[in-house]
Amino acid sequence: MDERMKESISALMDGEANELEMQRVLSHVDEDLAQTWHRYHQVRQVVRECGPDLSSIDVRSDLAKRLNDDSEVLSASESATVSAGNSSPSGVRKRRFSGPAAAIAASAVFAMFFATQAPEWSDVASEATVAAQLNGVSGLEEGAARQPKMHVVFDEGHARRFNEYLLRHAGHSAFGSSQGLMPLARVASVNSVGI
Amino acid sequence: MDHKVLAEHSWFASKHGFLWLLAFCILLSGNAVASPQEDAMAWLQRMQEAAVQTNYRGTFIFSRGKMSSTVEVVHRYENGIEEERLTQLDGEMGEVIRKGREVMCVLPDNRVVKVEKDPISNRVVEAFSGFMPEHGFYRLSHDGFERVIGRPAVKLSIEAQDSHRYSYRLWLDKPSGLLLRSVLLSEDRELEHFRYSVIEFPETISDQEFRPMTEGQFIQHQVIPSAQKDKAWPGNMSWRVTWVPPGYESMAGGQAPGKNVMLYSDGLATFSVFVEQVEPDAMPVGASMVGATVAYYHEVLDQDNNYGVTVMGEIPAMTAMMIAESVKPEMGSNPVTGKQP
Repeated sequence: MDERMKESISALMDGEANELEMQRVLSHVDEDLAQTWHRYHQVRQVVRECGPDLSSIDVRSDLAKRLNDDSEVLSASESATVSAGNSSPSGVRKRRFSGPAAAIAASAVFAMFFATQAPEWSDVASEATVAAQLNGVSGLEEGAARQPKMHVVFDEGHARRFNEYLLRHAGHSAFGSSQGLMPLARVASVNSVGI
Repeated sequence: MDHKVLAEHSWFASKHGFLWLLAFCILLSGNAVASPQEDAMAWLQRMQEAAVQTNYRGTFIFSRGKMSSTVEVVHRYENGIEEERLTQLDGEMGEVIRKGREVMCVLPDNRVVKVEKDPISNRVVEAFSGFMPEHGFYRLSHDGFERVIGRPAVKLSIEAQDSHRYSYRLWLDKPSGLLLRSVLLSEDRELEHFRYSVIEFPETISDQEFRPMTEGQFIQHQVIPSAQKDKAWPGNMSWRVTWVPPGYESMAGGQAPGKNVMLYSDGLATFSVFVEQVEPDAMPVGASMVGATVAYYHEVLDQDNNYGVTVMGEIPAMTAMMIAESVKPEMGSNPVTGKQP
């Protein structure tokens, strides 16, 4: 294994990998890589003096499963980012995977890490990811092709439009509703953009 | 059911004919047993009535995802008319004021925003009032008693039985039936949390408390237009929602010619369907989400005209998408096949 590959693995572990680095790692998943990953984690564990026993992780088998499980979540996160500005998905792919995106990418490869640290996952996941999970999007049987594009990051115009619909909807459902105060409570707590 | 609960039910039922009879029969039978679901139904009905007919004043916290707002509320029921004023206490001050069926938002920049009446606004959703959720789509249970802000409260669980609706936990004020706290859940994950931090039940509330903060100031009135129809929209054109999840019923709108706003409910959750001409500032195609509220926007291309379909409600994004994509134009009695872009 060359130095560049080791750097890519290290970057992925640290949440600093760009897409090129991630693809490099994914395309070279073999016994050598598995052992390298294993060693890196052992070192990390020793440094932290705590954590799960990762000696039995099978990177290859977990990889395929986690890629399937998380591809929908990743795509939801990307769509939210795209909605904030650039409408071209390619614009997303050129950026570095840092912060939430890096965490998602890393989770695709290293299942055990996140499986044993669920609170960290929740903390670092983007709002889009959380929204997708909360709405059961990734869990529905419809398949990836039927997955709604998610937007949770709004620009001002988008937020204003959303709030207008919220007010209209509340106007319909507030009267005699079994929800009582709730429709208007939703309007009263709209974001600072207003209506 | 213990005797204390029965006594309360008897009091409640005395105000409501058939329930009084029901309570009397239960007492006579000596069994004094109601299933958890029946008990929860009675409390839910009481909550609905309390939400309309109770005078109250309080402060609640409303959380959706990472956002949280503190809101002051005052509500009065007088001469058959509900009045309500909600004031934001965090950030810039804004208000929502309702009198009867009119709702307006008073914004910090001295704007008063009202929504132009949709065709369905005048045909109120009376059928909605008291409409209870079908048992098949939710499972109701009475989960005992807890204390909320120092008051005895009844806890109810409403579990969604499929993926087209959310679950709820409700805490009702035991003496009044008013909702004190609620959590809206998707598979045990919190999407919305509503909770009073202060509440009181005054006998009377003065008119002064319902006056907008901008009264006496220069204000700019703004009306959000009703869902805009396409100018080229033929008079006999209507829109049909060809799929809604089981258990949801049309509350208003329907598919009469020209109608482009519809409202559906399963008794707890509601969603509105708006069909409009495509506006330059339309929302992006897809699901825009804040907490449990989703607005799914979808465009339909029909005979060289583009129509925008927006489904908004407290329903899962996938469900909103399926509903929006099912909306089809119809010309008189002849369905029109819409091509989707």
